[in-house]
Amino acid sequence: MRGTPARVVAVTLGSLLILCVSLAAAFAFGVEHVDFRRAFSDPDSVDGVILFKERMTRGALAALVGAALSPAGVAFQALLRNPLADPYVLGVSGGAAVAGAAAIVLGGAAGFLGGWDLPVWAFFGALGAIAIVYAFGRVRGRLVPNVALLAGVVLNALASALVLAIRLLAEPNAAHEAMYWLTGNIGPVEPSKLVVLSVYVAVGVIGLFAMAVPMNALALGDESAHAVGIDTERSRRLIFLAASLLTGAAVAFAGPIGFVGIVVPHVLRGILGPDHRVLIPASALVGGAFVVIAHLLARLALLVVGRELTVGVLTALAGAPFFLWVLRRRGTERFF
Amino acid sequence: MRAWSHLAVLSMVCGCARTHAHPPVATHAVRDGLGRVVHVPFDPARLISLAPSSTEILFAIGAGEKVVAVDGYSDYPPEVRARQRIGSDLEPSLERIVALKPEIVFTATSANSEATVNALERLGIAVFVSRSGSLAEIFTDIAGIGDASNREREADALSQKMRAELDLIGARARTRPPVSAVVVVWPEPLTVAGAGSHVHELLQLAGGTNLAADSPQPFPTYSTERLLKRAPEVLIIGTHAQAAPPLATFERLTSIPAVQNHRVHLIDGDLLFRPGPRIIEGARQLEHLLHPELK
Repeated sequence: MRGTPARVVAVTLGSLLILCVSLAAAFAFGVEHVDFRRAFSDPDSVDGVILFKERMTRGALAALVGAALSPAGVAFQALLRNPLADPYVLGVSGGAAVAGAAAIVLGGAAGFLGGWDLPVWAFFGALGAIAIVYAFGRVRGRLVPNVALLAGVVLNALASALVLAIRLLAEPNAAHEAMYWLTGNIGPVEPSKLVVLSVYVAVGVIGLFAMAVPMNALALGDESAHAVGIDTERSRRLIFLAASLLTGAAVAFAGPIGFVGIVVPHVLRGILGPDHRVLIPASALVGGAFVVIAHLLARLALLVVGRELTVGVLTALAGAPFFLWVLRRRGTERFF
Repeated sequence: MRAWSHLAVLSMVCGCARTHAHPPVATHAVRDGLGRVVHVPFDPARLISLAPSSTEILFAIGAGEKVVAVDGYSDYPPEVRARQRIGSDLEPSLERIVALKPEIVFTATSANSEATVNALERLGIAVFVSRSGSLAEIFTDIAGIGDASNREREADALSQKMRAELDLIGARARTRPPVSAVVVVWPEPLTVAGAGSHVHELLQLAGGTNLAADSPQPFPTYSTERLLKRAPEVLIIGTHAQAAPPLATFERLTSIPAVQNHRVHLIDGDLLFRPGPRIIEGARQLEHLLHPELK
């Protein structure tokens, strides 16, 4: 396709602008009024702490989580050739949820990693689930999308049973905390964790972008992919790995936030078309913007009573009707 | 009695009509925390408590030796550990309760579900429900539990002693300028004691100004931005089941005077949040944390 690099650059810059505007809105608005002049002249003032330690760290976490989940959704939809696929469909969220809930409930017993307990446990839980799905999703050494999909669905069902059991047996306090994390939440976060997450997101998104051409071919089917000289098996493995790493990292830091990985990819595909070279960077940036805005709305929704919703609740509340509207408008149009 | 309870179990299993067996002994009517009239024996000998606060009240008014079993979370006073346990989750074992033949089961809206109360009543067991939101309701509870367990005078004495202690703490605190504070119930999601809780009353009484009092709910979730703006002089964080919550969440909020002046304190949550006799100890500790210069 001629002119593709120019289009990639143009769409990416446009998406970056959307992300910047949403971040600016998230920094500007909140529960309390912030005097920006005072915040910048004295970062230790109340205004400075609210802006830099509260709004900016949580805004950055929101952007990173969205930037991880949306391209992961795009990748899984292409990999499995299924419009229903989301970042959690292969059991990643289930594995992370079991390990994360266990970390919360065991608390002190698991607490040898300090503040890193939850993300580390959740991340390895996600990786464990991915390894299981990968092992069961292969037939005669080849990753078969539908088999992997079934293995993922079964694993998620098993995981939700385990999480329910953990919550029933846990102290009410720990059960409450685990439930909160499982709704998906952009909580307070240390800058060191943001650095680690941004490295993961950068590696994952760049990895997926490098696989954009094979993804285009895979979306058309194995024969077409072979015809243009793509090693389908190797491509699938790499896409699977990159998308899983992205999902695992996002879940580890914010719990399983729903709908980002399905709404943003579908809307962008409707606007930008099916080319993954355009879709991967755009979905990372717009996905980031989506979660940033959702987090802002979650904070402001109950402003009158001075309370906050979790972002996972809001993405589902806002995402589901929006997605239905998109479906209705697009009717029976092809997804790929 | 045994055959009667078997019949009750049977009726529950079949879902048939309720059995209204005639109580074997003379009963009198008491009013529980929900204002319901409950018919209980005059001097009941077998009591079960399904709420930690009810357990503490029963033992504090000398009805402890009548308590045959408690829920899994009742852990005070130490004698409770010798009592039989009935489940450690939200769903107590109804079979075991029936088998223990209690004359009254004490529950609380803060610890038990309505379904549990209804199920017990369908089995023909007298259920006393406590509702504790305010200090006044805690005293109503103590009186009601005393009335039901034939320990009226002891309950009265306990209430008087508690009131006198609270008055003393209040009188001492009034000699000092109030200190602004927020009591944190959970660090994440940030949950605080709002105006509708007895914790708020204890805080105000002990010489504090509850900066979260604009929230009418007892234990609302609270915005961190708002906590930063309110800038409390003292932050009091309740622990749960002896587990200390991570203080790092608060240490990063460096503009709060409490953080700057190292006045972020942990307090045993059971003393503060459990609506029972030990709120007096909770109030004493609050006073000490708010006004370390006293004493």
